[in-house]
Amino acid sequence: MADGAGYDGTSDQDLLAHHVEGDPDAFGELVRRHRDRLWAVALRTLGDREEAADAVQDALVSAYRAAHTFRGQSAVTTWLHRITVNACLDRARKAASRKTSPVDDTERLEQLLEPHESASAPAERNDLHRELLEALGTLPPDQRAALVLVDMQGYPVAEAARVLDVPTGTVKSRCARGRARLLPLLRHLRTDARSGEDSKKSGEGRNRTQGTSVPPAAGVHDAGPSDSTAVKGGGGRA
Amino acid sequence: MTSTDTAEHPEVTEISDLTEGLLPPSRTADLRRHLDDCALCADVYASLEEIRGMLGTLPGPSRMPADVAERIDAALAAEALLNATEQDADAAAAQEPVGASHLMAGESDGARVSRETSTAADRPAGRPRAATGPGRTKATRRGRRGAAVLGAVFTAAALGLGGLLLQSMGDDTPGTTPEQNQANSANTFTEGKLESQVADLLAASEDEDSGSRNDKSPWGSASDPDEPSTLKEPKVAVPPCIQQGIGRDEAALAYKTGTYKGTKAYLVVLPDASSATRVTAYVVDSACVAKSPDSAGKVLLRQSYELR
Repeated sequence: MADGAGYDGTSDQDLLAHHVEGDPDAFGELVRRHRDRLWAVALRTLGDREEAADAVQDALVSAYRAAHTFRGQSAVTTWLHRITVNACLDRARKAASRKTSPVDDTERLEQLLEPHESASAPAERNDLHRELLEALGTLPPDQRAALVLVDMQGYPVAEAARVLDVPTGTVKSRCARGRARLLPLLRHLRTDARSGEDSKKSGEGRNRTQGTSVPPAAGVHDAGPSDSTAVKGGGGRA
Repeated sequence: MTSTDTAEHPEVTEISDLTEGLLPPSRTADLRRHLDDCALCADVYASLEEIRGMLGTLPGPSRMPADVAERIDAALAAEALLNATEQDADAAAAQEPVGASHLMAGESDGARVSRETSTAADRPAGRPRAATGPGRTKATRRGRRGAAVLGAVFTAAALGLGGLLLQSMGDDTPGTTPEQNQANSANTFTEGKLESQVADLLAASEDEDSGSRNDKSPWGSASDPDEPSTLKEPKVAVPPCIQQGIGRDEAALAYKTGTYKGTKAYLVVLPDASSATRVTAYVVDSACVAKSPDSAGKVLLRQSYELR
């Protein structure tokens, strides 16, 4: 696959059509256009470099084969994201059934933060990011994927909904649940930062938390409103 | 309601739902009133927003690493190669009226089904199964180029030519020792034994038709179990180049692979052109199978036999 010559003005959809018609370079160009974003989504959803590489490869090979089934009902990039996220979720669920969390060692977490961090940023900030990623890895895959798309990668909720093939209300609900699960972590980090090494005084801090008056994650294990309920409420306030 | 009325604090999840506008209007109003009065819950609300912000500013990968990109390019190149192979096979099959349908069916049904990450079959159109790369499983961590070859092998198997074709493709080296070949006399074609071998082959072919398909599986008679057939209805697909070598485009009654004087060869049995009670057996050099489909296989031996 030669490097991208001559496709500058070609739309994604045309590239896919060229590929279906037998243009040997068209799909490669499509991959070059989108692989970085697909990679970011996969790496953050799976929290493991090898798993992410496998997932993106699976997805792109699958898209290569299935290009003729693309109907143009969504954008090509949405379609590619959908295939990639599905591959990630399949892998994440398998990983979840094997062990508690795919994100469980420091070295891997470091990889997730590269190349921006490490040397330049203050150490405590690195710690915070690492802990946040670690906590993200403990979320159910569906919530993780929604948070990765919406909060981390900044996709509009509507686009995330198309990628995940669920209603927008479901995306919002998954994001809300995911953030609620991350909350105890944030409180823990804040108190740590505030009181330095003295984590025994974690009851204090600028949260003004009075002991345990707000149940930290108690609600997380409750069912809460189901996704379908959330969908109904979704129109209330965008 | 006062800020100390802890019994009425909403759950964190409900506050989080509030930030997404997921609550019914009346409940939304209640909660907003509560947040105005309750510093604790207002802080939860603020913290949830802060988490959202932190997630958004988390540094992350901006580019796919070069090694991953290369690996994916290689996988796609392998896929392209595979496609080209399939197209060759399809094109060759298209010249061959009877065999073609078998090959096409195998390609679309067999080759696509067992992918590791394939999910529920009820996905909407435009949402293909998330297929895995060629030759998956534990080979995953070890580089994909080798897997392409494996993939091609699987595809060939799915094309319906099966292990027999692979035998001749895989180790098609002239250096195969005669001793090895002699060891398996059933697959060594000789002029003297050919008549009985043809008879056995036809008998095996008929046995398969009558139901005992698995008993004599070494035979190459790739008959379709759904198509009971007699000698009058030829049905076996022989590699196109072998057929070209024979120079007759009707399908074979039966065939098998073996060796003839140390050369890998196909034994192909066709109806005799001049007599309904006779068959003609051809022994054709199988070297052409691994090469371009355009090259005709060399006929090494041709004999006609009376049907018994």
